[in-house]
Amino acid sequence: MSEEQETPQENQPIDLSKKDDAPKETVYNSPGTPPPFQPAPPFQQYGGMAQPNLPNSTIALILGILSIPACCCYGLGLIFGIIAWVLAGSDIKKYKLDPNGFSLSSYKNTKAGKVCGIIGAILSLLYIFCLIAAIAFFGWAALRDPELMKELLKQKGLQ
Amino acid sequence: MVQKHNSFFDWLNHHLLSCPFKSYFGIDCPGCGLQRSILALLKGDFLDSFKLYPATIPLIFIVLFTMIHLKVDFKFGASLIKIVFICIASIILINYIYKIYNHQLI
Repeated sequence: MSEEQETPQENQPIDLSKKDDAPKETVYNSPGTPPPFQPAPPFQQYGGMAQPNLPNSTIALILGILSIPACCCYGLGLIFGIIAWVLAGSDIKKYKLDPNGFSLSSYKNTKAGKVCGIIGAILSLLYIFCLIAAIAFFGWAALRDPELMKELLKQKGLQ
Repeated sequence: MVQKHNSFFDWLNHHLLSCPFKSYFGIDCPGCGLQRSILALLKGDFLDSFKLYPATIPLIFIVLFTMIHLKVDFKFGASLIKIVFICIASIILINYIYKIYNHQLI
């Protein structure tokens, strides 16, 4: 029996190996934990692909660009520019608090929107400043009357 | 067809939005000429459009490009928009200073 038992034992290294390997498998599983680790990066990667855009990036960009054409109509550009500036500023703060939470492209768009908003606001400010300066320089009546304006310009040597 | 086009452009010519600055003070504002320039562009007259308002073509370009960029999301899109925008702003400023200098305001 002992021989028989030995032979089966020799023939049953499979069983023994199974029994021994059972803990060993767990041991190998612990280095095999990289597989559990591997799923994690893909999740982060897919998260990176599907990161939400910053909430106001598109609006900031569009308002920033519109601020230049609008700057000549009733000074609307100043309003557009400042809105774009503020929206973009708050979004940039949000992105800096949580850089992985939002997509990089929307962050770039937001920055572009901020720059455009600042430029548009500055242009509109210049426009309004010129308007005030013109009123102060020539007076309201002259500005309302083109002919008087021409005369005034000639008098001041500006033609 | 030609007559229709002509009448269409005539109609547009008579229905341009009047600039409040110009109607009040009789002086061009920095944006005056934009609508005439766009009309010239619609007629296919690039040179006239440029003479009336040099920033029109880049402005239209940046608006179209922004719409495409928001759909397609180019890598260089945001920086290109910034550069073109700065160019437009400087073109408008230079154009207005040129107008003041050459007494084309009135």
